[in-house]
Amino acid sequence: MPPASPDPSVGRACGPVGAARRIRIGSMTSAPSASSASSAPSKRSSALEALLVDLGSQIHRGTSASQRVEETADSLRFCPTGLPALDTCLGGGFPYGRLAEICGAPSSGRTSLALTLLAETLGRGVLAAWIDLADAFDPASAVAAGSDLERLLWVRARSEDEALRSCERLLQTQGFELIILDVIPRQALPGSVAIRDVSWLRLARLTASTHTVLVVLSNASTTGARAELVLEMRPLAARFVGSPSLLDALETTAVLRRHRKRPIGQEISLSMDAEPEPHRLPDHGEMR
Amino acid sequence: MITNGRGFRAQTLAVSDQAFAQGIRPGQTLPQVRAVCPEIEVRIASPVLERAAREAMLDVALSLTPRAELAERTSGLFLSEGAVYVDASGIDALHASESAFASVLHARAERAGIRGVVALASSRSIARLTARHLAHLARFPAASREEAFSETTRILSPKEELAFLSPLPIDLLDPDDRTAQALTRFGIHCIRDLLRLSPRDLAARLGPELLKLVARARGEENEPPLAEPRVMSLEEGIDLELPIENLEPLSFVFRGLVSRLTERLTLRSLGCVELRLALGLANGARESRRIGMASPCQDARVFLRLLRLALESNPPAAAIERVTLLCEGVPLRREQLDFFLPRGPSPNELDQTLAELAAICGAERVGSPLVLDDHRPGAFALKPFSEKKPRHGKNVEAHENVPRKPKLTLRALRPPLRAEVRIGRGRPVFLRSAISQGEILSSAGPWRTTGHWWEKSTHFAVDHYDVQMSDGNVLRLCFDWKAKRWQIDGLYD
Repeated sequence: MPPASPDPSVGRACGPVGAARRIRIGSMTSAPSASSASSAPSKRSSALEALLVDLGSQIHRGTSASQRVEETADSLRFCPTGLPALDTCLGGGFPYGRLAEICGAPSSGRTSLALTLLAETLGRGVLAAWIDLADAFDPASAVAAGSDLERLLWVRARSEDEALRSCERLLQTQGFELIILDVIPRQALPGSVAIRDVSWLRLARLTASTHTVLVVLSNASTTGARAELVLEMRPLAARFVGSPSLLDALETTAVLRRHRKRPIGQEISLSMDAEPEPHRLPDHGEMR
Repeated sequence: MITNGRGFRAQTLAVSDQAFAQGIRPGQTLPQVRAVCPEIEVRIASPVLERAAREAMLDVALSLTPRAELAERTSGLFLSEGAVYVDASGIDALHASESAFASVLHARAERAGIRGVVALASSRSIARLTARHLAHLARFPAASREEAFSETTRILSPKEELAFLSPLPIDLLDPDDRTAQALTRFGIHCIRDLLRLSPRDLAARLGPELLKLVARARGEENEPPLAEPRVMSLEEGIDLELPIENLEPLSFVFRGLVSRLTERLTLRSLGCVELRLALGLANGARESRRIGMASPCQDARVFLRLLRLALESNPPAAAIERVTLLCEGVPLRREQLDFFLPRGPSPNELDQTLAELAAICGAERVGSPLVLDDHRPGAFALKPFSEKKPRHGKNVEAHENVPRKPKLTLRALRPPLRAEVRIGRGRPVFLRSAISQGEILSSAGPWRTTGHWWEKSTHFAVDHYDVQMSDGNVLRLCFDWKAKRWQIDGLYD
């Protein structure tokens, strides 16, 4: 369906107000035409199409209108990670209004994946929060991953209770698009923090009434059936290159362990590249 | 009854109807009152509450007219009286009539918690005399004038002023005790009697003070109120009769104060960005809390919530005897929503959330992370979180189109974890720690970082290694030259 033609009487006013007005007039004028005989969903899609055309269509250029509408709807439902293979596996990304979990063994890339998701989300100009039970968040790593820390709220909780209460409060605030709840304990890395199932149920219900993705980072899957999806990270190998050697990358695999709408068991190979640090010049000084 | 103190010289400021019926009058000392009525309940006046009430009256007046001023305080019979002069000239352009103007004045005063009377006359002294008379009638209605009981407004035209004032008692002019006794001795009981006599002759006998009374009765004080410079700070407070120890009863006190404060802010079309809570404690100490807000706010619920959180997170050392709220009014900020981006949390909601998180985890543990410009490994700081305006259109879209490559990140261990390391051929080959133990399969490093060598207390010198353990962990190991020990800074994850 072609985009709704603008009403010449309105004039092409610059800015969002003009755009909104044109769409409304376009849909009104197209409704009485008997030739179209379109149903309600098609009217909505034509309005969305017109919106995309009016906004300039910088994105999705070269794709069909229906595909554009579909993708726009997807962007409203999913929070993408920015990793195309993983987003495809997840059906678009982490779903809004749902509890998700990234679990795995130490050095499996859980935190790297979470920071990638965080950087992607913050890059869209929205707010995000990181609730840190182990006080393990490294701001320098977050900056290296591309996060704009100005829009990140870091909550350094000292106990499970503080972490859960903070998470509840942030969910009630309704404005943070991504909340990462890091419950990986500091010391007993094999094992996980004992958070009762009823707490996850409560958080999942709170999340359902928001436009927020709640991602739980853990050692082993702890949210159980409360999570919409569980992504398990498996370490493969750390890659050292050069002589003298440098840590180059961490090879991992992300396995979709649970998803309510997608086939589970899919595996995505990920390579977490180490950020080259300028001061890391090999130095075999004789201090010892 | 209300007095201005507890001592023998304390004066009565206001009395209840029952006390008045027993013969107690404002201006009497406490011993005089006790002599008349020993079982009377005495309450001490709260200066902060009185001051706040007067300022609230001025706020009400200034919300309707640009020229208003507080009347000077008097002594004697009208010691507890609060009055404000309002310039009502030209109000026809804004209000249907003078009575409509008075109704609006009443309504706004009611919202600010003030009940009073309104009198409109050609001069400020006549208006004040009329108002005093109305207030007296409202408290003690004459049996023959039942209709006067509900009269809280009187609008006098210049022609009827003299007729209205003539029968009023001379006490309304607020003469001092000596003049009042002299006038009574001369048989002058009402304003009519005073105006009949020659002021010059009376002044020759009773002193020049009498001329002021005559001028008041004649309405010679007719200059309009001055336009006072608006003071942007607002204050509300209360002295509690009994100290309060628990937060629950204190929240009722807060509710009253905050509702009056927000009403005054509304009248002035101002918002509050910082609320200061001053507490007078039972042990004589004073405490204060500062509660900042991200944007000017008028919402009483937000204030109440933040006050509660401020006291929950930092309770006072003793029971509270006096509560004062101060705020600096600033013009309200209108929220501009973005057409293209999702709406973030409202500034007030965000303030509330941050305050609550600070109460849960501690104020120093909530904020925006900041990487410090420092060579010290892992140097960071937390700064207060504030909603930054999101980036617009093109930048965001450009960002979305860039495929992301995941970066290897570090899970910091704060403080670093002690470790035992065995060295072989100058490199770490075996590690034992609380999180990982075993052979080191691969290692990279060392990278030496030193700094602050000019200061012994902060000097640091560390060698970093990236190591892969046989159990799969990839760690950042470091040797601290100052402490001469191995430790694990973080885990690559």
